[in-house]
Amino acid sequence: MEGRADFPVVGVTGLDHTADVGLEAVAPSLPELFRRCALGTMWLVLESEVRGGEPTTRRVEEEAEDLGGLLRKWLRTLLYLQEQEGFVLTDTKVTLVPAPPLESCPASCFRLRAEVEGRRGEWHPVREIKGVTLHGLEVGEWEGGWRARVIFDV
Amino acid sequence: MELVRLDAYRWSIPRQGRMRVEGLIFADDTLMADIRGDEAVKQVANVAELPGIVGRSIGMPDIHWGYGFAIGGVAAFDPEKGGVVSPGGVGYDINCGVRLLRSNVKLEEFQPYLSRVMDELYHSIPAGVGKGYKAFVLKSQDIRAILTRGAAWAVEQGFGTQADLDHIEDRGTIAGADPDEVSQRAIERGKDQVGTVGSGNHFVEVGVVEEVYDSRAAERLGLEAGTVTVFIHSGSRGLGYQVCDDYLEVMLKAVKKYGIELPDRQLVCAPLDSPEARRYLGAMRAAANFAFANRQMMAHRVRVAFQKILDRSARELGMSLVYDVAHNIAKFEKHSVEGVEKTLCVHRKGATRAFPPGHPELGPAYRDLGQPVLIPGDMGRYSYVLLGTEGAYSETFGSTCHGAGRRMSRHQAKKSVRSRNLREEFQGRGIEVRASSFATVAEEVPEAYKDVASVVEVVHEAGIGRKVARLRPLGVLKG
Repeated sequence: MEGRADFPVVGVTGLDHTADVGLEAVAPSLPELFRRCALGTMWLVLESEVRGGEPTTRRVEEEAEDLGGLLRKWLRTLLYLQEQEGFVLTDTKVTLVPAPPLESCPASCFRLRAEVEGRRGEWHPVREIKGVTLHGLEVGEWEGGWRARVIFDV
Repeated sequence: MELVRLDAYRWSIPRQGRMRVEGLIFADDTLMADIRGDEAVKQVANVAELPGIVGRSIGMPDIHWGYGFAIGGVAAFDPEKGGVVSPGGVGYDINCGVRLLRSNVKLEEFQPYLSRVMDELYHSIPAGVGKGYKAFVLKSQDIRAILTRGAAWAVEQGFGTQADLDHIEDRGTIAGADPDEVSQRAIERGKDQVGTVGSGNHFVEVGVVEEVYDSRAAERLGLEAGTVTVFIHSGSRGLGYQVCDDYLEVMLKAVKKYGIELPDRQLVCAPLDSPEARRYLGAMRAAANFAFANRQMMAHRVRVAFQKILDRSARELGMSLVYDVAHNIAKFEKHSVEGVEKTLCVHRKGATRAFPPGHPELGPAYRDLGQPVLIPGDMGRYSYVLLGTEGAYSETFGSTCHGAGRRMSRHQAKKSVRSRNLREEFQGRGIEVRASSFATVAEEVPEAYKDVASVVEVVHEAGIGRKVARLRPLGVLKG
């Protein structure tokens, strides 16, 4: 997949895909990677800066068996908030911890907690993201930092 | 990936690696050059690795890179051989499909009204990203009914007629739907979206029958040259997307539980006799019914719009339903495998059912003729109506193509039109466009797609569909 350097989010580039859209993010740390993926996803939906609306914050918590699954759940939740509540993320502080095995997550788990800053309002998205696919989903260490790749169904 | 040419329109992917069956792709030389340009061939081969697959993993001539299954892919699985069901083989937009209305209205009579009709459609059918219909939000008691009864529910509410149901795949109601397996989040996403187009490549297109290839069949379908038609392309909206998403999570656990190894995680699946598969199929059928109701309600609004502007009833205008067909679905059907009739779970992802004349699942309206197949092209050129054939039934599990198929990424498409005035260009071609966002139109320009005429020619020549008529767009409503 070819990357494109046209995202106004530091460390994020778009990925070309015939039918869908995607992004690749790199960051020095895992929490920053999740932050950049979130900002990049919001950009794919709106393709504009977020102005206006009512400033507000949300707390998001997710768990998954691996980092790819965790990223997927994180982005799905943000997309749901945007679609259903008109809440668009403008920044976030993400904490990621390995979690002890739970009944719902018998293998080693990862847990995300995020304080999400955003704005609630009426927006004009340019793109409807149907889902965060598993196709080509990657989160891993890369050149001293971290890299993620995500393809969205549109 | 090795490809072996079998004839002018067929290419085989020989069994290699972990493939359980061969792959078969329908294409001519020009289309194959595009197909080789992305990951579609590999995806056909990946699907061939899934447990219980029978026959071949098939790619239609409009095939292109998807996620897991390619878009334009068909695969059938035998429950008696550990066959699986995969949400990725249906897609996020469960029962994305197409509906075609015909009319008695001649183009010359209609042309002066085109602009006003397009304005009326734009105002009465919500189109656009996440756009719901705030004046029509489903109540709790409606939700269960719509998920169980689909288009039949919409007709009972006064959106259309019983005659419409005779012209819809499965009469617009797929049996075995289980609303209890649809999550609350899915219901929240879909409850104000019944009767809405959506965005992306969804549309409502007013057109004209430009050429008839089979006059007897066209007459039976009510398609007279020079008469106005309306295509509707949409699916299950946010409800269906969420169902797919929910069950990808379920299937991620299922592949570990059942020890299924996958070449691509998006092919997550479960054995057809497993509780996970039964739950997904129940939810998928419910979402499919939602999509049938969605298109039924939009068709009603189309008829109302025409009535208002042309000042005649829909009956006087002859606005009856030709057919409505799904192109993202998984269904249990009887097919012959090595001479033995079996019940298989056929996945069509960006592929259309194309049953032949005489097939018992076709309603009385078309049983002797064969199933109508509706193939929308891109928004600038043409669309086609075909009929199902014995060739499709014997070779592709009764399936054929679904559209033009993309050949350019959305980013490339937007880049290619950056300095162009799209509105003027379409007007220059005599096409009125109404869109809530021209950014979407830029991604959907004709050059982003393969030429549907080539796709249909391959299908026709290969015998997996039979041309009846070609339609030309006059006006397009896009999200």
